[in-house]
Amino acid sequence: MRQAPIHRKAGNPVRQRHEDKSKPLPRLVPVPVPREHARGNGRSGPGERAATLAADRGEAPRLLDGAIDITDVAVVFQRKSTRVVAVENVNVRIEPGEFVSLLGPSGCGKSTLLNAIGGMLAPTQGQISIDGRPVREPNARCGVVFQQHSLFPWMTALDNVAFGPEMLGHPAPKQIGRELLALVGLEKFAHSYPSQLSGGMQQRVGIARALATRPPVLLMDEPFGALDAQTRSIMQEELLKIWTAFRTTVVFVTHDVDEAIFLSDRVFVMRSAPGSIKEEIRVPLDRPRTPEIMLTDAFGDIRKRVKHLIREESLKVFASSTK
Amino acid sequence: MTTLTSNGLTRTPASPALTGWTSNLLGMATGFGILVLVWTVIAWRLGNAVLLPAPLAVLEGFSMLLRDGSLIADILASLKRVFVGFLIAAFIAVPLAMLLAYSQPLRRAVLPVINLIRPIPPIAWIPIAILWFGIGDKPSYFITAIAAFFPIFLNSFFGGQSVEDQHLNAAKCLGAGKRALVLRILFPSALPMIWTGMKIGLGQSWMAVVTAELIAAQSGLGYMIQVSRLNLETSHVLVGMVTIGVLGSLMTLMLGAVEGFILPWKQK
Repeated sequence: MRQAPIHRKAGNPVRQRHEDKSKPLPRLVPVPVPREHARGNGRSGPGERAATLAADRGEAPRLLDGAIDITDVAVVFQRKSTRVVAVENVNVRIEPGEFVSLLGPSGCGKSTLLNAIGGMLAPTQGQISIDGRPVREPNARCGVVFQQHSLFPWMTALDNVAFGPEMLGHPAPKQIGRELLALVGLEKFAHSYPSQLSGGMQQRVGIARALATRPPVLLMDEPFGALDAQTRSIMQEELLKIWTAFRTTVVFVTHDVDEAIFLSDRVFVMRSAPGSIKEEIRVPLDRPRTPEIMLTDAFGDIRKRVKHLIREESLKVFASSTK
Repeated sequence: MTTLTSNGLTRTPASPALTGWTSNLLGMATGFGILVLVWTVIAWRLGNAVLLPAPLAVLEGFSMLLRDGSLIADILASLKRVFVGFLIAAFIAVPLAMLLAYSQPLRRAVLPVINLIRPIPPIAWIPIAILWFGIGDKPSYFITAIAAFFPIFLNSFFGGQSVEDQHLNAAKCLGAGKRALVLRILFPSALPMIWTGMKIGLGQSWMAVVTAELIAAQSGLGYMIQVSRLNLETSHVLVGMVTIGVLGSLMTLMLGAVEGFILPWKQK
């Protein structure tokens, strides 16, 4: 499903490949760019790498922002007199338009890391930057889809989705809202309140809302964790379709092995207590993917390896807790 | 069409709503019937119209005060004082509560002051109100505003504080600035509590207006009760009391009726 971007802006509707790397990347949505903009980190542009990735998948021009650099990040919580190291020593670069998963057992710090990328939590050490600009607090560069109950209950589905474009000063936020609701198949529920929607529908509205601002990065914190298995499988497929249309960088947190492999270009298996990246696993499966891919040997091999790593981790946690 | 109920009896499904209404009315009529009966019996045994006039005498007083127009004038005077005071309180309390819920430095400075003033009952403000505003509408506005302020403020403040971090973060990720966070996230999050505060505040205001009029006014239901007491017209005192009770209940009913428009997402 290839879709023309929703944003009006006469003349140049598609995000163009950015040739001149000395200038800031072009944006369709007027995102307020904070001060830190001036201090780019001097890295080389993400262009070449992203282009190869896109070519691998045989896909058309892709957006060239949404690179995430995580450098030597640690997050420490101070609870009364005890220090809890939630995340440490994380060094990851995520390419523009890439789909990566953070996979690990509960309490391994994957959500903490995600919150740090979104600016909802400041890392105690190290730095996280998106497109060379350090993340300081939550802003419209990162769309976030939470596990559940994050829609504004006092707004209809349409108003929820239109909220972001409205905040960014878009002239026709409701129009965008309607188009995105149609994309997730919920145009008929535009005027329903979140409490009148099922869990799966709420998450679809949540995804539409996060995408309405066209963020270069989309963070998803176990977005399908509260759904039943059938709905979950359908939502995963839908998400891949939407992602193909939007080409945003996705960081997806889950503890479901199949989900992580099915969706991602790369899966980061996390180590617990303190949380860190145990191993990075590439998923060289062809796209577009359908659920049948889970029955193939290639998928099975990856699953076996990932499960082994996770089991190793879980056993370690289990052993240390029974000592 | 009939349905089988748990005890095996059949009944028509259309009737429950009707039964609900009629049984409510029946219950109410029974309650008021007993009240009037007991009142009549006690009044008859006492045989003293100054201590306790019979319900019939109160009804007579009611129709007399209604006919000479004084009751309506008193009701309007009291209602005006309540609504003006209530609106003043709401317009100060709600924005203040939202600001304090949002800003920690402001909260640290202002909350202790509010907590200090809060235990002072509205009636204790009356002397000051008379000194500042004289006799008439103004001190009553002041008193009704004081009475309504604290319930509205406290409920709004706790409503604002209970806003979910997830909603704030989601809004920030969608590009919301400070102003939008307060007006579009904090305020609607708090609205159910604000509404509760307003219901309580209006009730408090209504109680306070009578107190204020007993002392600081020359019209209104409170003043009417005070004058009737001095004239030993107890039936008129009771007319005033019953009117206050009935109007107060009507206000509560009215607020309940418009709740669906204020909080549409709370509808099932």
